[in-house]
Amino acid sequence: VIIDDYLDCSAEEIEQLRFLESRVPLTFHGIGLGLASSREVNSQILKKFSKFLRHFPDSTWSEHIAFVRGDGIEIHHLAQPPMNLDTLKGLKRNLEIVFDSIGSYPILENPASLISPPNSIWREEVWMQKICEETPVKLLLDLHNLYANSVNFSFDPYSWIDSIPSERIAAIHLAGGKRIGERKNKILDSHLHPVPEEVYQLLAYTAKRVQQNLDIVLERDGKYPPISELIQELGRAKSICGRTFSGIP
Amino acid sequence: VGEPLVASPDLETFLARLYTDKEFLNEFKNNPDVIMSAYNLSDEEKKSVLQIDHEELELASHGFRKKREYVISQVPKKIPFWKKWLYKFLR
Repeated sequence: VIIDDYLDCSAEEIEQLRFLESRVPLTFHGIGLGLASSREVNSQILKKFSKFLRHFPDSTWSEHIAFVRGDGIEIHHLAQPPMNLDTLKGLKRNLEIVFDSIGSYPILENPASLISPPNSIWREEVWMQKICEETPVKLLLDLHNLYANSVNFSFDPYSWIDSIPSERIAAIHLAGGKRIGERKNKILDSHLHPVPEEVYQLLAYTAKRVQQNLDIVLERDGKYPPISELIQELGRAKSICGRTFSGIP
Repeated sequence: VGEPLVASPDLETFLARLYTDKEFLNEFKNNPDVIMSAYNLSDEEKKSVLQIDHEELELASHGFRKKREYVISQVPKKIPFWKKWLYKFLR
């Protein structure tokens, strides 16, 4: 459930979600907090997140390691932040502000990017290590974002996975994208295509490293294939993970 | 935590505009120094912005603009109070 879609929702919609929650596991996913920023998290949006999440005290929620606005300019999407000390300090501060307001930390997701963020002093895997060292959060490992960034910025995704503490991984996102650019050398995380083989391989590698159960979400935002294909993709993830699969379509 | 962060907020504002405003992006490509001078960027930040790969910047900003247009188009128009009242009354 995308939290941002429900920030101004009615009591009736909350009841509908609670009804759904009583029957299937729900996971709540935020987009608009912009936690990885040297600016303080937007207090009005945070208040709405807090009000919404109070209805679902037993559920986990997640957000992104991204910035989404700058002084009145809403990007309306997730931008990978400059990976430096200022942003890390800002992220830590924002996580504490969020904790004070909501009472829990979000699980943090690694974002996809087509552009190497300027003024970065760390490579992405070092950036992720620093976040794990400096904050108490768990991670939502988006394996397609990782795969896309590894192609877009020429790094080894397996070494990236090795560099983060496996016990911090709480959930996994699977998705597909497409090759773009004149030389087709960049990958856009479109959520409109089947999960590529490389992402399944990263899933197998991750599953071997973790002991705990993982929530696995297959992301698809449009161009929906027949449901049988989606079930097949989930089935493949299930067979790769074996006992670690708890599967939320 | 709690320390004042001086430099990066302006960089984020600059990047947010660069990613979402096509005209601003074109002006930046034609005259980066003039465009950057309107923002309180440190020398390091200016240097790093000048090193941005232009192909990456074009692809990323195109993607951000498309997504932004889509999100804005999906925002439901606020229903006037009288219409809500009328709907409840008729129901």
